[in-house]
Amino acid sequence: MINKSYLNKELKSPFDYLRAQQDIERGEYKDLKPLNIAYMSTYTAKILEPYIFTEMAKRGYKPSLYFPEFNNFEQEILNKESLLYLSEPDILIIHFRIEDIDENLSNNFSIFSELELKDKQIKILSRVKSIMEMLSEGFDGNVIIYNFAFTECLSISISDPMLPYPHERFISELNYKLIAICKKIASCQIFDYFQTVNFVGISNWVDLKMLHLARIPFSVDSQITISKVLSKTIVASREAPCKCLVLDLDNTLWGGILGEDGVTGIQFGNDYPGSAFKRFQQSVLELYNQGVLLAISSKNDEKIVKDAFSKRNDFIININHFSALKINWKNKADNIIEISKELNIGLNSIVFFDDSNYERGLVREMLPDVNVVDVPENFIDYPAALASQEFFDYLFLTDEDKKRNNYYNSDKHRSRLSKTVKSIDDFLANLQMKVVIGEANEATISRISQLTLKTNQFSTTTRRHTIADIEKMIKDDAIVSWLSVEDIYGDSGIIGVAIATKKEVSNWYIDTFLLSCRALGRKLEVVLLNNLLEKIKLKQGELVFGEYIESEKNNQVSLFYDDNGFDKVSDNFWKKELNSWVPNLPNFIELRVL
Amino acid sequence: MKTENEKILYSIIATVLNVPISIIDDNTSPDSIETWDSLTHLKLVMAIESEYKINLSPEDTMDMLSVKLIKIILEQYL
Repeated sequence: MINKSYLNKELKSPFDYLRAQQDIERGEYKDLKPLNIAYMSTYTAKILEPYIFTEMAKRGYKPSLYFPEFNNFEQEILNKESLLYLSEPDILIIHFRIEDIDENLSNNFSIFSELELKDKQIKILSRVKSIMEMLSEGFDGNVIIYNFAFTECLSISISDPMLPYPHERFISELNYKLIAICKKIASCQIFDYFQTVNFVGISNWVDLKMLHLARIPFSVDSQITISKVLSKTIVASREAPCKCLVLDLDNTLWGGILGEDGVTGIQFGNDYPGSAFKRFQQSVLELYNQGVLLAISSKNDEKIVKDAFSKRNDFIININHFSALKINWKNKADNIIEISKELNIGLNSIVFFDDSNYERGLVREMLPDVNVVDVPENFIDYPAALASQEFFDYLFLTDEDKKRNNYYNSDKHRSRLSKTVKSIDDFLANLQMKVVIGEANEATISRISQLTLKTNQFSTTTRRHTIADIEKMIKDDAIVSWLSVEDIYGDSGIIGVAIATKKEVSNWYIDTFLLSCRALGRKLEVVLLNNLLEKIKLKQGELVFGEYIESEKNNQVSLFYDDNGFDKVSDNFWKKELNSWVPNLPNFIELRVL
Repeated sequence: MKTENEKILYSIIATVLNVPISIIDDNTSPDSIETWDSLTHLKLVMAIESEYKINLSPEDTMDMLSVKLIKIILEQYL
């Protein structure tokens, strides 16, 4: 599995890579697995060393790299005493660059006849074939061979497509035949150099100065790109891919918040911004089709979500694509543990994708084995972020892989987990939450009103209050409190409101108690409720009543008063006597009361 | 070259040559440092080009064979 903790920052320049390599060699990163790699090529490849070294380290390996003199394939392979064998490579990388084998094969293909080109093709392939045969006799590591890319060209040829044997066909037939040669050797894989060059663009691939001065056929950026993709390929050749993608829903699988915006209000479709989420669902389906199990972990109402999936038949992903559903208000780490038990897979086989950096932080902290995708700021980049993660990389797909989803969907397995997991309180403590509670004033009253108007999910009564309503309640001696929170992820501002009104001499009633949905699961409601009860007690209140008014969206607070030590008096009412009550605050929250 | 800029350049050179920064001075050259071979020289050129976002001419690339020469050549590009 990919080692996430190493060298997470992006390296861009040769200097960055050299420094990183020196840090790694000094042993600043522990637990890297040793791996011997030999790299044979038709050009000077040693310049790639710092890049391959560092990109492999990012993926959990500490390679020893050996670069024989260029173009020395046969000598090194046939001589069993050669440095190649002495370096005991686990992986042997082979790159035949067409331009090096036949210098006439760059630029212009129109100078050759079809027959001549086919002859050249045979020559290239027979050399590859004979080397592979030599290797299959004496070498027991894995072989990774570059396929062929379009050759260097100084300009765009406009006549190539109509040639009897175009450049494009020359290369694709070479690649097709290369596969046949490689298939004969079990431990041989292909590095898709063709696509790697295309992705960057051939005109940026070569730095002509370095090519002429030193026969280095790659620009610095190409060296970095090759090393990344090559390292991906090497790791995929040695490690099993992850098995399950756990997805958030709101602002991930669609835009907006289902509980607030409703089935038709969420963003999904052919136009921006819904088109970005459609593309994301397509990327998810691609993973599903290659056998990746899908699961949901979402803070939502299960009924509303299922209803949305059944009504939105324009979705690419439907509810049956998922092997596990955890749609509830529990913390996501607990949900992921449940998913891993249900599907009988290890936590290190799970990949988590969530737009909220709070949720990602929680999962990273509590379940360090789970692979958390670094989700970019802008949702337009989500599909690319999902596509470029490497956790599901594979080189071969078996029929079993493709069928895995049927198996899981029909027969869900359970198993016990032995992993130790940190408690949620430990995680919350690390957030270093600083909570401020204050009472409504001119500066805060509009935000308080706005929260009562907008909040649907964590709201005991869902009462809507205008600014004027609130002003009137304050005049009638009500307590109107707000709560704001700041943590290591930033300042969330005011996200909670509690309003209590005085009924009789010492009886109080909690008119409104709400938290914005981005603040859930952090025990902030406990802090706010404790503070409210304290304030009521200070005003000589003795009995407090709480009410739950059911709406379509606030099911998650139906047990709020039970959970917080109130006694049920009727279907929708609870009471709390304050005489014997003492506040009980979570000790990991720093509270300031204004 | 200002001391501050010199420090940055020296840190690039020391990192590429994989030697302590303290031993770098104007006279440092392939003759005085064993690790400064032809491959390292190319790495050095690429590192300098990338850090300073410049494109050295092939002649300058071959000529910058001491720290003093690197400074003189670099001044022309900055």
